[in-house]
Amino acid sequence: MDSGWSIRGRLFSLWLLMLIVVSLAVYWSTNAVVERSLREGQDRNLQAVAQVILDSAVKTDATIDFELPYQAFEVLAYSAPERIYYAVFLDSEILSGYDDLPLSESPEQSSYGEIYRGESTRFYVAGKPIRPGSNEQFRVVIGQTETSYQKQSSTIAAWIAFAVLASFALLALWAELSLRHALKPVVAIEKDLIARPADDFSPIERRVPSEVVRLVQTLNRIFDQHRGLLQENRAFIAEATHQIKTPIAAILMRAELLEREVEDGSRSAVKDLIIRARYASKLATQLLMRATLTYREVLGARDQVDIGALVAGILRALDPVAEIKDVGLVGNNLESAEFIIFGDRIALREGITCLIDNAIDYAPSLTDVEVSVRHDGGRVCVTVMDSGPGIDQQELGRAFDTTKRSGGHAGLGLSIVEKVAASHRGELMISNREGGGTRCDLWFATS
Amino acid sequence: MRLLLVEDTEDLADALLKHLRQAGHTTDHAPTLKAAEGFWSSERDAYDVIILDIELPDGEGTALLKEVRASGLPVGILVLTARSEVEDKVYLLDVGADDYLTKPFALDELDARLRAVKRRHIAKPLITQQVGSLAYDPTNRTVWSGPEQLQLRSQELKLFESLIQANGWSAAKEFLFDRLYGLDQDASANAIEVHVSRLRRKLAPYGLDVETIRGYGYQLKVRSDG
Repeated sequence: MDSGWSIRGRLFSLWLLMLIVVSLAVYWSTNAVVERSLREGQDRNLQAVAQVILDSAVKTDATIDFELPYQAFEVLAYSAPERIYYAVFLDSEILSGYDDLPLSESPEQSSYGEIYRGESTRFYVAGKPIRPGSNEQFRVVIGQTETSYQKQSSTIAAWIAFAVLASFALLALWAELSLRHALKPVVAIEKDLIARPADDFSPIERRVPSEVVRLVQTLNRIFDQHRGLLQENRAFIAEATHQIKTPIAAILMRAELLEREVEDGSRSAVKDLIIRARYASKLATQLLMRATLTYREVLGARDQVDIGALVAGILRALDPVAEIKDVGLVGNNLESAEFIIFGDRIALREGITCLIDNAIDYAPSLTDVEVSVRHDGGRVCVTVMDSGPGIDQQELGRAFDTTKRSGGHAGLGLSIVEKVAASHRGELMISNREGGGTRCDLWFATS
Repeated sequence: MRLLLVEDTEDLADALLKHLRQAGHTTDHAPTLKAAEGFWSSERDAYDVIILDIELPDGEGTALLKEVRASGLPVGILVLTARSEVEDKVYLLDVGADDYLTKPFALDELDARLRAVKRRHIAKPLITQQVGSLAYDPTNRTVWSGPEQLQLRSQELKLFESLIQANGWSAAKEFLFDRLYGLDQDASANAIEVHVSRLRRKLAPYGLDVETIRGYGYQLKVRSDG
């Protein structure tokens, strides 16, 4: 399953993108409003000064009466230490001030900004007719450099930026916390599921948000179906085991008793019957064992297993079986060290039992079956050697064939062993020993 | 041995009873859990081993198993089970079964496991014959190393006993062959060598050796370093 993205990561990215856009918009709009407000304030001051200067210009029939009202400039001096420029015109004739002040490009535009004498300067132009109805006009141009306004604007912009960034950080933190809080129920479900034993298919009972209710309901339905199937499987195996094995046991036992009672002439027929009954019983046992192993694979139960100790226990349990055939069971190097692997103890026990049981079956009387365990290249290997007939080279590849039977032995044993090996990332290797007999190496990964 | 067979399947119980009685064991049969509990409560000191089927028509055989173990009496319990799941078997051993047999089984295996279960509940007697570091109990035919019983197979035990009886002298190979196989049994000529080799392997950790007397037989010796 591809898990290249996370809901939390994706939601957080979207939140962050949104926050960046909003923060930039807030910064630019606030900055623009502040700048505009500062400019309007400056313009109003300039307008007031221009108006006072204009009011002080009077033209009689013969003379022009004009005295510059210096006190008017104090209004501008309050705001900040800036340079102030003025010019008073009668039409285009300069009456007082700087004759090179830039004029507005459009007659409707009374305030404008220009670079004058190397400084950014704000100008205001105002005019009035020299007398009512006259075409001649007094015009006043008043200018003030903007250095302090710009400084003030930059300071306010910096504060706005700081406020926006602080809000951004707070909102980002809030976004993270709210996402974490919102996803808490989903994370809790995930933790619950991870912590569950492999065979726990009970429904998820915790309260969940409405957005994941259907998901959890679907999961619970799958759990329910799975639990039902497993219980059915388990019940079938138990029932089939009981129903099949008990009558076979009775048949086998009666045949064994019959063998002791019949005349010599009929004994070989009874022996044949016993061999076939044993074959049927072993096959039934192995078929049911395969079903059990499949069920256990679904369970996925795993814990630490010491293979050496496990093999030693298996040898003790199988000793009476080997004694009947007069086959020796020799365990080498079993408990000299810990041979720990991570696996299903039950499946491992059954697989290794099958392997040793198979060797006992094939070993001739008065020979030994040797079992050893060793570490090799990060793996654990169980080696089982017998002195039986070995396996034909042509048959080696078919050793795991579930349909193979030979000499009254059921052929499922090695396929069971191979199944157990495969489910533990291992393998079963079979070879013929020099001097006769079979060698089986059963490998398991240690982690 | 005095046995109690608890098995509900009639065919199987009949065959088992016949075999056990032919083998010389005095055997009572209980087809239900209730009947088994009746036998147990009336003759609890009498039984050496209880052969107990787990799935009985009126309950689980484990109920009797727990009752027997709670009594503290030295009674062996061999469980018969058709269940294939090993956790069941492990559970049975945990609650006090000595061993289990999965149906179907061969009568020889039943006999071998019965002997082993019986041996487990034999206490070490006060008077034993000392053989090196081992103690031999001729009454119950058991071998002890301290408080632990040494697990010898039937043929190995016969061989060990024959070598002890030679009382420090060597035992002839033909004599040993007769003791192990009797006069009627067919056995290969090297059978004695194989059993001697297996016995030697089991005795070696206890400082005992079975020495070959070339052309004659074998002699049990305590190793000087043992």
